[in-house]
Amino acid sequence: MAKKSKTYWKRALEGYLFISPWIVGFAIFTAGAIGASFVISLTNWSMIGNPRFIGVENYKRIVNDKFFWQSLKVTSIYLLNVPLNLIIGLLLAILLNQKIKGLSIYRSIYYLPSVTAGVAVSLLWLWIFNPRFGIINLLLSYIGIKGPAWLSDEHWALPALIIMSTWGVGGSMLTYLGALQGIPTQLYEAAILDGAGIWDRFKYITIPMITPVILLNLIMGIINSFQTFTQAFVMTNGGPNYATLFYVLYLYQQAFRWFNMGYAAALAWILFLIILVCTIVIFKTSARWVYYERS
Amino acid sequence: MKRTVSLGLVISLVFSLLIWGTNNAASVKITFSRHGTETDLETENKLVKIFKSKHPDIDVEVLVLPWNDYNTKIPVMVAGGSAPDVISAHPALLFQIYAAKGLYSINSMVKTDTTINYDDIVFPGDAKFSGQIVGLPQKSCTHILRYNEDLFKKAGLTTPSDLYYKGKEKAWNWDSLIEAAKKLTVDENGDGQPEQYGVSLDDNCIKFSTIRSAGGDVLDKALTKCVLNSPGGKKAFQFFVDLVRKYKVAPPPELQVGQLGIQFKTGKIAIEAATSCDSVRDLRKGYELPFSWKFVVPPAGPAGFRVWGDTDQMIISITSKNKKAAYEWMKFRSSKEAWVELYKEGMTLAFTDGPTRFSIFDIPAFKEPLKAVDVNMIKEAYKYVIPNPFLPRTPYADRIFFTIVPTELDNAMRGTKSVEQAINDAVKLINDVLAGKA
Repeated sequence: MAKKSKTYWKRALEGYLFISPWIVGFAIFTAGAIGASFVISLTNWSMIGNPRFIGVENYKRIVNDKFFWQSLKVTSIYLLNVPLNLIIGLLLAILLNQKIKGLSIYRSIYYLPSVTAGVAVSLLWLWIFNPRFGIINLLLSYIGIKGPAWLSDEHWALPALIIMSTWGVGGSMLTYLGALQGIPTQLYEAAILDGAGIWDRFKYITIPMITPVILLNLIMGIINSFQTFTQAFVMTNGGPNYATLFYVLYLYQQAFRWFNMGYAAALAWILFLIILVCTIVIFKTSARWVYYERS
Repeated sequence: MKRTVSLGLVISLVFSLLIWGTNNAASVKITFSRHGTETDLETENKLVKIFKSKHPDIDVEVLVLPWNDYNTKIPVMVAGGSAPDVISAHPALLFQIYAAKGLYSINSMVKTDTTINYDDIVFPGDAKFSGQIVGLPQKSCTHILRYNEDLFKKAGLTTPSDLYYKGKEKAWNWDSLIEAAKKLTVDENGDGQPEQYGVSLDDNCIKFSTIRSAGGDVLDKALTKCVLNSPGGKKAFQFFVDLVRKYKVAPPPELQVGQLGIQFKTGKIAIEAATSCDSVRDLRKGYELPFSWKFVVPPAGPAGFRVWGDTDQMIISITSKNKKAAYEWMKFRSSKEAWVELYKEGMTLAFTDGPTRFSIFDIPAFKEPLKAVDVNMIKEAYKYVIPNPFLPRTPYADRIFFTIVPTELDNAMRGTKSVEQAINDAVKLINDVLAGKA
């Protein structure tokens, strides 16, 4: 093994010094809490009084808890919003990458919703989904369709929230836009000279060149979806008939409504493991479809 | 001369220090917490000022937190041994703190206190655990109904209050509610969808009291088994479903009528679920509703009248180092005297706190601010809080009464489940929860 040079160690030290505020913050405020939450997950604790150590009992109980499975099912179905938002975000980015008048205004308009506060957005969509005079059902009525009760209908509540998720597509749109503008124009010029059409250029140049951003948006989308809370908390409170009982909402109810802190901590650790496995699988498979210029 | 001045200064300094030291040693500081708003903080600070004038040796620091923060912060403070000396706790929080041995029993203090007439205290059962008194009420509240008097007059109907006073359960019952609601449900534009509904009972506490007024219950006496599938439970579920589906006099849950402007406050709902402690805020100057309204007890079911009523109890934290001072404060805060003196100062507890004593119903501090509604009807409601405590003391209460039962009743009212199926599902889920399986 080659001996590391003095410069190497100096550079490394500089690097660690630069990230030291984060490391110190993480060690003091986060790492301890993470460790404590695991210990709590092995106890029966209502926040008041002393926690009682019960080993893996909470984890065993989770396996038989139908609300756990229901919340996992709801959250898994909600993951459908990820590909939907990937596609819509990309299409919007392509549209907003054209040279048209007032481009910056359009970009701002499409990006604005993604920075609006979650509660405000939820209240707005409550109106949009109102069964009697919400704008969606109003538009459907013009073409002779009687719209569903959306958030009050257990079959439509979750699809409604998936539709609503497209409201926040501005964030991924922006990263796509950055990636699209980073594609060297000579690649397109060469392709045109070779007789490639629009679709071929999109398929063989655009898509491969932006796969790192697709990977980023995919992972972030999945993590955010697993952590969905505000919409369900504000708009449906998990109903109707538990149709929007998202995992984190159930975790919140266990922790802060019913004060089963040990059980809630166990739920949190299971969620962490689920997200970790999903992320690892995506990273492992990404070598097959993500293209890096250097690779 | 210089020496005399210096000597004088030294003597006055020593004297001042002595006085300060004496005062400081005698003064005791306690903390008091309750959930509420900034207005409540203002009220509490005023009460502290009045209390301080009577107990100059006790300083009270008030902590008022919004509902959600309160329910997380107080348990954490109790767990951390840093709880306020006096904690105002709603029934669920009280049970939680009691179960965790986080409170100090005031039983002997109350029993030996000749200045407290305990028979005058409302809902005394709320404060008793194993026969021991653990708290004094900060406020009380009942979940009852209120109706738009103008709509009743316009429709030429006898008001619920008149029905109640004339014939009690014979005149004011489920049938008379339905009959009145039918006449008060109006499809103004003829599109088949009413713009005005006769009744809205969208309150989980009223749902539970209705089950009891039908002769049913949710849990057995031992609190180990769900008994919602009894005839009484089924009758109550059917009553709610019929209001929506059969008679169409109550808005179906899926319509989200509140967003449509169909609300009691807009005059588009004739009778609605209300509380005797919060709904009275609509009587404050500048907040009045544009029509006359009155309270009435929920209609009698087959088993008679039942009303959900409860108190927020002030308790002393087990970790308090100043229990006597804490007791003095909560005794004052809970007293009729506090109501009277605060009212003299131009503030009123009647808009935020229900009476803590039966005798408070008869004093101007309660009667005058609420004179626009029938104060006597509020008092009547307190009679029907049977049993007391009304909310069963189980750690699963919130989950059972505020999640599972309302969800299944909602399913039945939306028509996605039959009454039978909704009840069976509720029973199964509740039994799972009681068995620790969910």
